[in-house]
Amino acid sequence: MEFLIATSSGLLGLLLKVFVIVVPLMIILEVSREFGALHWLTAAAFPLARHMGFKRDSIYPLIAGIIFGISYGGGVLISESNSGRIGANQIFLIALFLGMCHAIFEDTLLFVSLGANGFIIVIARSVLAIVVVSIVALFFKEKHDQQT
Amino acid sequence: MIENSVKSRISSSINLGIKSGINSFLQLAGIMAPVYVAVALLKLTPAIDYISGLFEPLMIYFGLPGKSALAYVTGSFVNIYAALAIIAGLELTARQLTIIAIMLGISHSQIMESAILIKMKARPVWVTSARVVFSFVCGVLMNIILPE
Repeated sequence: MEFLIATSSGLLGLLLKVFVIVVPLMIILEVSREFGALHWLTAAAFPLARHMGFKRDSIYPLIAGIIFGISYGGGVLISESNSGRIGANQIFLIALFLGMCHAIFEDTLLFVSLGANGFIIVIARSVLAIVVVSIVALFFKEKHDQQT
Repeated sequence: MIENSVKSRISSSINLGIKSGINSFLQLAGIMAPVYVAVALLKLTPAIDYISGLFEPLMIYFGLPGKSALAYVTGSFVNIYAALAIIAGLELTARQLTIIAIMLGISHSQIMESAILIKMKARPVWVTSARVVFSFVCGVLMNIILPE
């Protein structure tokens, strides 16, 4: 009984959190796309992201995931991949990056509250994600060049 | 006239955002709910204790005490909050906290997040394996790099 209550209340809390984050993220995405502001929103990140093999359309879900976490970035991605705007290789690169580096504020602060060095944590995860994704993207690019 | 068209563009894009947000939420909820229950059930079994036992001798390579294996394995399978509850009782140094934070930051909630990766069609086996491998690699590297 205790198990049932703890599990269902934990699950409800989690789903509520996902709903409260994913729906506004999608509204912001659609409104800024409609008014051409998406380019402007993602412009600052594009020069760096391009070197890692990311396309422009990938930047919004990527940033959403880095800030909020893989479930929320994933929520945006599910919708974008269904629409066909983001291809399979891009989704893989986004997931690979987010796998190693997501919810960067929440995860870091939790450990900082216990006494860890937040600066080192953020740098280590970011550098790892950037290096790994850049290398994998290089492989995709080569494959693509051979095909064309 | 112009004002009206702007208004209708705003409201239609907000509607689209709500629709795709709810759609993404439902897809996420459909996978998160059963997996959440499965992980809660897993916690009732001795599986996590058993796997932790296997990890204990490895922790020395990360500069961590053997006891922290339980925190690492729990975090990897369940989530960061469950790991933090264990870490809080371990009296780790700031250096050790930073290392385990990086390792858990890279590899946590693997069951739930693999399920989301499946939903994202993001080559989950590759992404999850990369997270496990690079979590270990970073743990060893940090143990070498970080000053005592």
